[in-house]
Amino acid sequence: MQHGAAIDIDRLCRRFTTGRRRDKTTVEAVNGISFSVDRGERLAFIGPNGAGKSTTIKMLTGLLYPSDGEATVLGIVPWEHRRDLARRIGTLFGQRSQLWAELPARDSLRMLGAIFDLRPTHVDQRIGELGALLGATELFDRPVRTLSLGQRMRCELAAAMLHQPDLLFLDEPTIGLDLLGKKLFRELLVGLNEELGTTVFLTSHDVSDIEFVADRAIVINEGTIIYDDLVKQMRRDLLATKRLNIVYQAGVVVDPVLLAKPGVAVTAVTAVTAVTAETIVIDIDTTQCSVSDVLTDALRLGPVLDLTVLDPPLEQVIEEIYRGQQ
Amino acid sequence: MSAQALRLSFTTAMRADVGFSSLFVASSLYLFVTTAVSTLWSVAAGDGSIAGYTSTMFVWYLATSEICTIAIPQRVLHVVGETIGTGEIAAEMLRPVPVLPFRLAREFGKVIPKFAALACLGLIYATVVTRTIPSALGLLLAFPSVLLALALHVTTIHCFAVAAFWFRDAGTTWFLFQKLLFVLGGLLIPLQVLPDWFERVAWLTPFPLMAYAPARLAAGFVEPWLIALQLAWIIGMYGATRLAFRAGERKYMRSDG
Repeated sequence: MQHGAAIDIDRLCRRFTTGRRRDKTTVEAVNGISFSVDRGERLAFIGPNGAGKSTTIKMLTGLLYPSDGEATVLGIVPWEHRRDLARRIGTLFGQRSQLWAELPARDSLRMLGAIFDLRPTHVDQRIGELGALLGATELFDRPVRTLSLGQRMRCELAAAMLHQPDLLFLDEPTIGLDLLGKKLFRELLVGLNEELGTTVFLTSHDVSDIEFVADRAIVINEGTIIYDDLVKQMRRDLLATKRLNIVYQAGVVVDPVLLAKPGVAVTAVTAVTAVTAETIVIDIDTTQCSVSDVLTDALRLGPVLDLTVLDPPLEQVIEEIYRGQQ
Repeated sequence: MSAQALRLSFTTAMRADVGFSSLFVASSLYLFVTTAVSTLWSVAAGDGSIAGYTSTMFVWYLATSEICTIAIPQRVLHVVGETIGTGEIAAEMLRPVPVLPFRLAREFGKVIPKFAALACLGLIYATVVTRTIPSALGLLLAFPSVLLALALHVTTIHCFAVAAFWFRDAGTTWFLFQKLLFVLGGLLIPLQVLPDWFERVAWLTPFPLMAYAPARLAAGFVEPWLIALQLAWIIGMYGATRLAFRAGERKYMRSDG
């Protein structure tokens, strides 16, 4: 085990037993994983549903005893000293709120400050700092139930950061946010990490979260780590494909030949309806050709009604990893 | 764990739960039940009394016992159970303080606005209807007694809700709690009206102290020992609930997460 790492895990296991008597089955939710996370690092911990992400987070935050193995978080064994650890970590679970819906976030933040034994003057100072950093000062004074999801998530992030944790656990923090909300939230996370040195441990199903927030990615599947590398490398290895969906006005003659360049494949040209519009789907290998180059050409073809740039789904990324391993 | 944190948990919950609609519903329900049942009692008792309660005393009894129950939303046990059963309790376990005192402070804080509204309403209602106060001292003692009854009620609800750590659902215990409170708590009928053996059984439980005790004081029976008994039960119930919560948290960490 390394000393001084933010997280250090050694052969961590967690088994669950389900069913009764004869029908008893044991499931290996986490199966002997080992890795460490340096202080100040931004790690994406990803995997499909049931891969073992949440179970790992629960063990690392002290909510669950492991079946086997060891782990320290900021030098503390989480399941032995959960409350001591809670003073030094922040948690943000996309689906669960720390804030009172009926009251302004400022009131909830003050209550959380008291729970973390912060002096009232210090709490107000922190609220001011976080408000400025997250662009949320005026949001803190509005009842939480009147905020949009994106605004609420900024307040939730302030709640998680109030006691200046050294490590932030984020479980699906961008779930339900629109594109702009996601972008802003990712920028805030990176900003917090760069300005305060907070270690970020992020789980997400959204490949873009990983690309824009993390330095390093660990992919877990069926309780086992199947990939652990820098995101830069992962981008080269696995996230090089982008899919472009373009909907043209009716009557535009889509000539795929115009887009013929290395690394560009026109996957489909579909008439959405005979009268209204036509869709063209283009897969781009970004190691050979940039998205903007293809877009420039695609826009020349005619008036565009709608345009989306999609990442490969996580399942496809994992499939790629397996293919690479084989 | 600081007193400041508990105080803020209590006051924040108190402010969050002040809602005109919930107070209006509680007040309407209160007036309806109190008027209906006290009218029945006055018909049955006439100019005399039943089990020592005249019509006037019974109005004060009922006005007080109903505050003790309507101030606490009965679904709260179900909600606490769901919080535990669905794992949402994890968010509270991730704080550097014990879960139970904060839950109790928060739930008690939520009760206070309804208590204040119903206490004012009850005082006006009983005074207008009876035009007399059975005992000024009894009424004076009834105020702290109602608060203690509410505190005991909230604590006992949590003791029942702990079952959700094991059974995932507190629906059954919620049902059981409601029936026990209704029968053993003397909500609509003073315990003296019930058979002796039943009354003896009731006193083995905390339920009479959640409604009957303050109601009896308000009805004019100056029996301060009821307050002492409430205090003793609150301490005992808190200790038992704390132990149960700890066991539940360990169970959660061992097998649920």
